[in-house]
Amino acid sequence: MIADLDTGPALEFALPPELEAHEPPEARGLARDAVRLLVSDRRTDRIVHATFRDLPWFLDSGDVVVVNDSATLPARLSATDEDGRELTLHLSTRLSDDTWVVEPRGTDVATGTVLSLPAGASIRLARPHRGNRLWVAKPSLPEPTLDYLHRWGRPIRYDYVPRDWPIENYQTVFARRPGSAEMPSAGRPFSSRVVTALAARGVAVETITLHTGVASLEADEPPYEEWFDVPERTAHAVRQAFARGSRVLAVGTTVVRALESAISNCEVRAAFGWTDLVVTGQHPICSASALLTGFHEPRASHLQMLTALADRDHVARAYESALEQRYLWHEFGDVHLIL
Amino acid sequence: MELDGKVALITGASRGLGREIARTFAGRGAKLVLVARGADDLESAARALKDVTDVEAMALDVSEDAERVVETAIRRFGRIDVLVNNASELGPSPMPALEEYDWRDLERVLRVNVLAPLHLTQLVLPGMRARQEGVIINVTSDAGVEAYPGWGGYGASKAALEHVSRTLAEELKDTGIRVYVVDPGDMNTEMHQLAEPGVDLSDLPGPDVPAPAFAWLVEHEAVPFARVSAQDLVKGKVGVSAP
Repeated sequence: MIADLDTGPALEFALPPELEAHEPPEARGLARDAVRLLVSDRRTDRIVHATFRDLPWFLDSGDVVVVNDSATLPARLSATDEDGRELTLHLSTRLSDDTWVVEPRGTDVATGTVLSLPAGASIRLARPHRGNRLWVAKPSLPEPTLDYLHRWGRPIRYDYVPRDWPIENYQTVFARRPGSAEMPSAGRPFSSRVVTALAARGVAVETITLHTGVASLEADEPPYEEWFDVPERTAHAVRQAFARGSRVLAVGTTVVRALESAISNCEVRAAFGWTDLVVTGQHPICSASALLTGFHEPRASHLQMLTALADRDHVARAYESALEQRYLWHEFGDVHLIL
Repeated sequence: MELDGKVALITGASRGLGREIARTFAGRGAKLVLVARGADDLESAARALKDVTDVEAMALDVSEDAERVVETAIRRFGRIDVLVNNASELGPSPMPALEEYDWRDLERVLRVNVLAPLHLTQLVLPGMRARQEGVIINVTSDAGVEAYPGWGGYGASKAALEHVSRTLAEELKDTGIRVYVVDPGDMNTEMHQLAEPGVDLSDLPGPDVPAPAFAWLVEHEAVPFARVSAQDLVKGKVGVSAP
């Protein structure tokens, strides 16, 4: 099922539709932290099927867990174009106070197009942004953007999630700084009791911020620039962990992207700004020794990132096992811990 | 729940009933986590099963190392589907009347027979809740129900364990997690000999007789809670489905 491992550009496999998580685990009768946890050891290739709540058992005193504290915005708006056609608009990335990168979905637009938004608001598409899918746009809103989005926006969702869920379903327990178009979903299974159990075990939890843009839709496209912030406290904790031989567990590919963007001479230093770094198997990762992440679609750039930590065969083996054991994919699904 | 491929944690697994339960579960395809204090007996029990199934053996005291037991089990197998709290502390032998019972001895009996099973249960429940499936079996004794002179300490601990089990079952209603209290009945085991030194036990059944009842409960019982006599179960039903 998984082919093309040694030479191909991406891991390829067929994802059966029934392995897509269509709704939050809570809607399936599970607690946030009751999703499944596939643990794979990249040194021994051993695979264990566990439960997320047992995560602390797999870590040791002194290990550092780095999470993304970016909160998810209800970044999806209903819009109408100049001909009165309805469309969906995704706000992806805030470039400045009045400039956003946006993605109009399912209609043709051109430079200068003005889209009407709810409550008399509008947005003007100033110029295309890297290709023809995204646009730099200037909104004209009756109130501050975040207030407006919370009143009129809904969380971005794709076809495999058939209905809207309240924004709370798209926030992790770490969410502090609003700014992500899509949930940093590897952090979703954490609950306060798991965080408490980590603390009791002597495992520190540190934060970075990386505001996610709209997904590069799991095609072969590389991810776009995203804003990140790695504070000194976190950089220090990561350096100290490596110095004493402890693990650094990055929770999500967003955390890897942020930490790797803050590297100098293979050491994490405090940094913030825009990053266009693409982490792939071509460059070994300096800033993390373990990764917690969801299950990614075939050919996804995120899947490429996994091969920067674990070799391709290891990832392929873990994915084969996940498919066989019927793990669930996407942001409401199960998670994979690579140690 | 089929035992095949599932993970069972059995305490007191080096000798007697625990060792026979382990053998029965192994024969039905369960992966085993075996815990006992005696390293040599445990090693021999584990070695005998290693060709049959995956075995993790830990020579630890469950009343002191419950967390380490579950941590090691989860790291190795990722899950615990069945918990059999079989390890028991009899107390001093010969068994003193309550009037003479040193409270420190009684404390140890209660720690091993009541608190350790509850602690292990607390540690395995989150995973069972997540999977909406799991079986907890606590081994009891008719001394937990009837009052026999000299059996007061042990009996009080088993009465407490039974009440803990009943309460857990109430609290776990509709979770898919089942709780059973199993009285294995009189057996010819080292523990029984300690309880009644000098008495000839050779007419009593060995621990291999009640052991299949434990597998039967896991695989076939539907009710979420029951107090079961293992030997009655074996005579009545287990012959049909057990090996």
